[in-house]
Amino acid sequence: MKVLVIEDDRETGTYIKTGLEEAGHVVDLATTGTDGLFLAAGETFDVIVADRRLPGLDGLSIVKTIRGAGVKTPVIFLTTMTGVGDRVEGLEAGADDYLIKPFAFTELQARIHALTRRPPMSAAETVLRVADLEMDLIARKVHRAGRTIDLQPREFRLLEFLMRNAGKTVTRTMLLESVWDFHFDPRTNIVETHISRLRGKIERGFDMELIETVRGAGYCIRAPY
Amino acid sequence: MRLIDWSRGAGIRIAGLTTILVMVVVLLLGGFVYSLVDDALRVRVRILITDDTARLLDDYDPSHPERLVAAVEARTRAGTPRRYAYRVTKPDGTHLAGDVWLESTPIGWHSQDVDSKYDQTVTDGQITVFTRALEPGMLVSIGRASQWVAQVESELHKLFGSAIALAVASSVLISLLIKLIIARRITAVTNTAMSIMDGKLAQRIPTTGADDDFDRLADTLNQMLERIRVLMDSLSQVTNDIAHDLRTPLGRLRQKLEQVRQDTSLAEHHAIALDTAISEADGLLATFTAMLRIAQIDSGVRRVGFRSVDLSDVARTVCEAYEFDADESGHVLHTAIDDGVMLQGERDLLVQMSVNLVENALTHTPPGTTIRVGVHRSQAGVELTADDDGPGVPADEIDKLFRRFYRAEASRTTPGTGLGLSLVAAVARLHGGTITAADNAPGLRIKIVFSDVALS
Repeated sequence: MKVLVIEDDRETGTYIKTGLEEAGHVVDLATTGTDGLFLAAGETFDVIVADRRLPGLDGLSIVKTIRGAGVKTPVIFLTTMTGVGDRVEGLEAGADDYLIKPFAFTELQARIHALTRRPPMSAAETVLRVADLEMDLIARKVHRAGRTIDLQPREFRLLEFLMRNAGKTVTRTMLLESVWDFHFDPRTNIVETHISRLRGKIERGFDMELIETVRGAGYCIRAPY
Repeated sequence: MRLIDWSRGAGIRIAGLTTILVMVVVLLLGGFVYSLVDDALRVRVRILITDDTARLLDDYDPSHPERLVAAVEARTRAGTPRRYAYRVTKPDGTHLAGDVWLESTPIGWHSQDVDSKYDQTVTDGQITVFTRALEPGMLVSIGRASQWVAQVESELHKLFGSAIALAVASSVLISLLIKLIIARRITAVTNTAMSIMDGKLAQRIPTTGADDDFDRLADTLNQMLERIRVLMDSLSQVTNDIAHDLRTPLGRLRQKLEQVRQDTSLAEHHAIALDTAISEADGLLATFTAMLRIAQIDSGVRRVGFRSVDLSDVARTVCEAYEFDADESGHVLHTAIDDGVMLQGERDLLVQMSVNLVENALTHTPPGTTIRVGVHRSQAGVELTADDDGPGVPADEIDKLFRRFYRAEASRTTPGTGLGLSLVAAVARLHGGTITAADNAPGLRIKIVFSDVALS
């Protein structure tokens, strides 16, 4: 995958570049907003990681400009701000996701994956499948190996998010944001408790485990090999 | 420092303007009264003369002019003092009878200055004279002293002069007094400000107890100084607390890294030690994030983005999210939430506030404790409550719960940043709410009341 990183802090920039390159991506690093815009507008990338605050031309203006020019490359904002207003502003400008600095590298990686390999969901697709687990999005029903599984609404949303990202690692923060709409880190690990309940419902009594814990990163639902 | 600096300041300008204004008013008023009085007096003299002339000529018969001559002679011969002077002449000025010094020309009204040597009977000085032609070929003149008019006029002049002098003097004096009083009061403020700048932070502006504008200003300034002192105190306290609270995890982090450095065994050990180090760093970052968040909330900037938020929905979502956790830690989480309680605010912050309240109760109470979260409309506005029937907080610690980094004695060892409830308080303040902690007998009751101002 080809990633453009726009980050004025060289240390952080190099950290992201090295990490992504080790994960097998091709990375271009721009250290000013102007360079970043030049690259973003001129070349094709799979994803752009841009610092929200840059000297001169800031991330927000870059995204507005390239969106105005019709560039649809997914953009992840990096921000040091914990402000909610900042996040909304970024998303409204056309960014696809945001990440508060400092962040765990696995978090960035998971978000890049979630953005770039988002499955082209057709509107007609109403059933999600992972191995013998089936989720009917219209009837709001979950079956496994022909047996109906009762899920609370929140558990349903949790499983839906995992299944939509089947095969990919989703982080605790991503789950908190999309399942609970919590844009901060609670001290108690409510994700863990919910996953463990969910596991109890969709795995207990069946022969294989579907939800995998990815150490230091998050969770992943996939059919076992 | 001079007590009064005359070279500048509004006082002296106001004094000057007042004086000029007073002078103008006195002059205008005086001039008006003067001309009124003067006119009245002169008219009065003429009326008197006209009346006397009418009396003298009442039974005048042109065929017997000698009778008038006789009447005039009789009148001028009458005893002193006389109020009137009379004279009859021929048109060519030939004296016929009466006071010979009286000027009989021209016909009509004129004034004449009289020398006392002519006649002692008429008050000396100025007299007003009226001359009339009579048939056959005779002029009769009647004069009356009008010197007293001039005297009244000069009295009036003196009066107005002293009035102006008095007005100017008193306005200067009053302005001076005002200037002096203002200067004294301002000097008190200046001196206080200077000694505060010198480091005497407890210094306050003295009040006179007169409850005037200056006292009110002094009170307001003193309140401001007090607020600043409290803020400074809490700032220095927070600084101390940060240093204390962050040294420990930083020390542990350093220790871990040192261990890794010295450990020559398996890479697996390294990984475990590094994981611990990372989670130590994460804890530190969490503390800083919470601090920044509180600071940001306290700055009040976020209030601009306020919109209608369903507090009932927020509380329900949060309680639902913690249902499993409460269950697992052996707590009972109850809700008593009214439907559709709305609030002007920021949803994310209200969610975090509710999360912190629930987490606080879950962390600091033993298994078996019942936690109740309530959202109600009340007379005071909107109420959000979090009660528990746990061991509670000692009375002497209850007020300190919302202080940054404060950890009650009993929970020194439980994990946490000591900022959870501070953040709750900050969010409550931002939304115009007042937060209180009270004994729930048993347990702790935290109540936030959002006054009507914040209602949608």
